[in-house]
Amino acid sequence: MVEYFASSSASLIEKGLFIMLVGIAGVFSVLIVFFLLIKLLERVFPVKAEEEQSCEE
Amino acid sequence: MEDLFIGFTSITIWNVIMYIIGGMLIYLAIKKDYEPMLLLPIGFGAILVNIPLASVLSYEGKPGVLQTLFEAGIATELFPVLIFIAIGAMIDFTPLFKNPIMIFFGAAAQFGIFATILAALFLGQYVPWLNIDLKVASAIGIIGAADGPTAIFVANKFARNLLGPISVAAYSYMSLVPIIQPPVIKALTTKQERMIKMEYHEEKVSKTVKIVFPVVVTIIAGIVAPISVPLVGLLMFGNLIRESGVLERLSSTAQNELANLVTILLGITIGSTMTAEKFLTPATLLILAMGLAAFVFDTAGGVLFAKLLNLFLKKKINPMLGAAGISAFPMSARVIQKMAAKEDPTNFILMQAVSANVSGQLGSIIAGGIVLALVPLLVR
Repeated sequence: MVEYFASSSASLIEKGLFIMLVGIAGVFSVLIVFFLLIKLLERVFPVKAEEEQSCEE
Repeated sequence: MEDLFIGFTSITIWNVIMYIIGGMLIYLAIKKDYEPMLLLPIGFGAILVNIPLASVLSYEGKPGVLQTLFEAGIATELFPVLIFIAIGAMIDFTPLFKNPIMIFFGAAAQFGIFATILAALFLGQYVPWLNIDLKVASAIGIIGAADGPTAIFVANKFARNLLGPISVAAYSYMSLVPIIQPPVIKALTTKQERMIKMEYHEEKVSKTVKIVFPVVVTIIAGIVAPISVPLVGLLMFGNLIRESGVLERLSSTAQNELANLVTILLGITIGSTMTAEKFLTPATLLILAMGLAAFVFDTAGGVLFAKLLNLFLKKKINPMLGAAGISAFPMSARVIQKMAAKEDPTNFILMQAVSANVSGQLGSIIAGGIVLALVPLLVR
């Protein structure tokens, strides 16, 4: 598919639409991965008792 | 004898217009407090390069001081990348860790970048003499990142001759967020929606999470879009210095001395690209108009995405938070809280807005990286 949009037969508007589609999907995909990463990290590294204590202080 | 008065004989009306423009930027910086750290050096740089003979650009056949700075700091992308270390050291991701759902607004509010690229291409079809190709459209669209260094980085790769107006547009509209966003938000939301209250749970975040996050994000972003590594990597490097807890001095230096020094050099060097022949063109007007459109599209994208989410959520989200997904930190978050308090003085959504705003900083860099990776593939 990329070959078609990279070719001269695709118009500039088609290329712009392709960038829009892939761009928005790409940003969402990466940020979804970051969302899952945050959730995972919080499970793997929960707040330690001493950290909680220091926060309360 | 003529040589003595060469300054007087070489001056043109276009130089004078650029002095006025430079003066206006300095006025906006000082009097209106519009991004003074950038607009003041840019304005003065614009005056410097339009003084007859422009000896700051070249002198006796050799590169002048600002040309040397341009070659060393902008052409090599060193200045914007160094700024990312400073920004990384300033960012606290804690609000995002506490409200990770807000990360999606950081994605939705990048809509403006892509919508503006498309709009610029449409315009280029109907006004062919503007010579808008995919690279130029992308450089204009990236103003929608609402993130100065990313805009400079991308514009330098794709449309170096437009670097001046793109930077001016990016920084000016960032400072105008309190004026641009509210009418767009009001047009797209009802009073009831703007009054939605949201719960906030004060949760602790482990220090290990804060340390591991920048490292893993760099690796993931680098794998997805290797070209984005100078942006994401150095932003996260700055953040790691901050969160490590053992590099207080370096963190402080990155946030203060490094940020200040590079900002001075970046601003005046960007100003040095604003020679009359480059700046006083129809393209500049187009960039200023499209830049404004990009911020409007960003705001609309975020708000409409929040409204879409509300169709499926039991606990409704205040849709104004979507607009805080742009990278302009912390202006956007403040604007949203102010609007919420105006509708209902007891409504406090600042923490959620800050979370969305921090996500916007991540989203804008990722979007910039994707544009950098994608466009060269399509213009082979």
